[in-house]
Amino acid sequence: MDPIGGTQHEDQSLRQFLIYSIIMHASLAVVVVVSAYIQYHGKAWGGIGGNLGGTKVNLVSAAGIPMPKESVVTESKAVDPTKGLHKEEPPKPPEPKTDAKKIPKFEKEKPLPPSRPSRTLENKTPPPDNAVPYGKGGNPDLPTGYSQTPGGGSSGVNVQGQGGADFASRYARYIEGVKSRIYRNWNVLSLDNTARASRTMHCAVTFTINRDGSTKDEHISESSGNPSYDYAALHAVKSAGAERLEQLPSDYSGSYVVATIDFNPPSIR
Amino acid sequence: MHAKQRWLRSLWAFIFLAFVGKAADGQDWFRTAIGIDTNKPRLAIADFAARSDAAKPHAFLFTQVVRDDLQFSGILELASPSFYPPQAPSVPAELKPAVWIDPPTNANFLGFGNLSESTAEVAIEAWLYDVRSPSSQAVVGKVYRGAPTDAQVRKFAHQFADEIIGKLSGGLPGVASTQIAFVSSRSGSKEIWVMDYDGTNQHQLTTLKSISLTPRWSPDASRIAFTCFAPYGGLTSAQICMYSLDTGKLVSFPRFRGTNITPAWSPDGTQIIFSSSMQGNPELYVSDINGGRPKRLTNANGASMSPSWNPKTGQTVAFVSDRGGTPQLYLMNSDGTSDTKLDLPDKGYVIDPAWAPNGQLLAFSWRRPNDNYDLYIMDAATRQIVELTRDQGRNERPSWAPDGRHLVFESTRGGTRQIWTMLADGSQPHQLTTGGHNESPNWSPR
Repeated sequence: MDPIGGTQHEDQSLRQFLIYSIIMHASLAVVVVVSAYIQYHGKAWGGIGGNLGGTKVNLVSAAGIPMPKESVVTESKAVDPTKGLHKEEPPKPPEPKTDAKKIPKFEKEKPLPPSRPSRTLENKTPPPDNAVPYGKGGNPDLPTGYSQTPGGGSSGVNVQGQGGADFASRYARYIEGVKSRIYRNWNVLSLDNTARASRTMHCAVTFTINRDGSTKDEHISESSGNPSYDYAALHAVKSAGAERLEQLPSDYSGSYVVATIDFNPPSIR
Repeated sequence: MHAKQRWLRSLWAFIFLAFVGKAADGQDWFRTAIGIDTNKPRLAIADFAARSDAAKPHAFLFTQVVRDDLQFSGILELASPSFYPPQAPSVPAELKPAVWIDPPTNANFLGFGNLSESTAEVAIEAWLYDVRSPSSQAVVGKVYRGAPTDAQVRKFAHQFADEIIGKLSGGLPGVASTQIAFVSSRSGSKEIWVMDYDGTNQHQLTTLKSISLTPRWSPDASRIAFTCFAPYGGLTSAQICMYSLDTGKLVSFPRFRGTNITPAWSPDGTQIIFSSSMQGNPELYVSDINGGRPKRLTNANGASMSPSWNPKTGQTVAFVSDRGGTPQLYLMNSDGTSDTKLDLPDKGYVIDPAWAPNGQLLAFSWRRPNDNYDLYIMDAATRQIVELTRDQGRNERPSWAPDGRHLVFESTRGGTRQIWTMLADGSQPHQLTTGGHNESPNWSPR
């Protein structure tokens, strides 16, 4: 009724929305800053995608693997075959964040030693799981004469990608190792007669691989409907985890990976 | 007031979803499959480049042995060399991944390298690359140097193949550098021989000129225990003998009264279990590796023999006893308690138990009524069995490879008794010996 009061009411309403707007923008700014921080620290490996949806990744055939952007391959002058003998090198501190300028460090190293018996190249003790240069940060410990610059990542790899598909293409060798370890622990002789006779039975086990190769959260994500088949699959994953899978690749920045293994009928029956 | 609450609720929901969405984005995953109809990693091994004409034979040999080893492994698919592109890299700088990824090679991984040779030394640079990975650092990279002999080049090839197999199997070892002990009569008497896992480098260890049987590697592969015939108390009888691979000579082991046969090692290599009739009835005894303080483990009617000590747990011993009338498999604790018979779904003779490295599976020979001896595997927990051989002569005395993927055994399928290997699902049989009669193989632990 009071026109002034009415005006005052409208002013208050606008001010209220202005405050909301400021809070909203401030929140947005916080989210952006925190997200950038997480991204920078590699906690959020992978960009879009990465949910546990159902795209099946075929690891070993060309089809189905969305290949990442092609790497730029450049020749390097670094040639030192002794670097291949990584087991004999003294332990080094972790490679600092580096770029192509680090490569000359190779050139400064000692020239080839004189010929010597082969056993000097052999290690009497088992190598640590991550001793071979594959996926290792920093310079490869081989006379590669070959360097890759996939985005100029300091550790050799600047991990960007499309969730699981990128992990599968980038770390195919690691995944082959996981498959092999689980297959080795898959006791198909524990299947009942129905399961052993089937040519189509299938189940899937989903689990988490921690950085140290241990596993957790193993569960049947797709049941076969046959208890012995599901049990053998779940037991295979748990047993492989109890023995420890390989550590996650050292150049992979995440702390864990979620894996789903499809158990198709075994070849032995 | 309502409008304010809605705003605040929207604001918190927005922030929450922003963080949750971010976390979901960061969760990496993969999905893969095992079992039939799943692909194995496909490898190509390019011809290793000879740096001189003199190096050509060994470059060819190295390439061929690596290919054979990988083919044997059973964990990968080797692309046929006829599919390879004409230009093979000899160093990583020459690698063009695309031509190896494309059909018909379709490789996931490529092995390549070069070999140079002088009169004093052969030097081999060898790499394996994941040609589909954008990071493309070497999966394996090695330099081998040694005497320019066939044997040395072959050894280096085995080592390189084992490196590859280890990398593609999650760190589990390959068997390309392992050996197989066996009994051969080709020299005129049954002696202990050793060969590389692929049948090459066969050579005689013992020259006892009598009868030597059932060789068993020690867990550290430094010794072989076996059954020999030696004088005791004025008579020649079966005794336990011990051969040192380090010294190339027999190691002293005490002789006992009666018949002493079928030694087996404890997993820690500190004890020997064997069958002996030193107290009358053939029973199983355990002693230290010098034969000291033998202690009887079994006490039953009939003979007990052919023990196999569970290599994983060390708690269980499988053995053969005819206490029930015919030879059958039994399990007991390693202290001799709680022996139980492993019942099979049919009658017949059951012999030659051999534990798999995982300590879960037991391979054995079974002669079913009106049939030949064939090889089977049993899951010790569920007693489920699977048949590995059928209608191919006699197949006996299985021994596991340390990778748990292969078995070596003796078979008459070729007309004479010879040593064969196969994958543990019965596929890829491969004959290792041809000359004379060869039997009783035992795969070295490493």
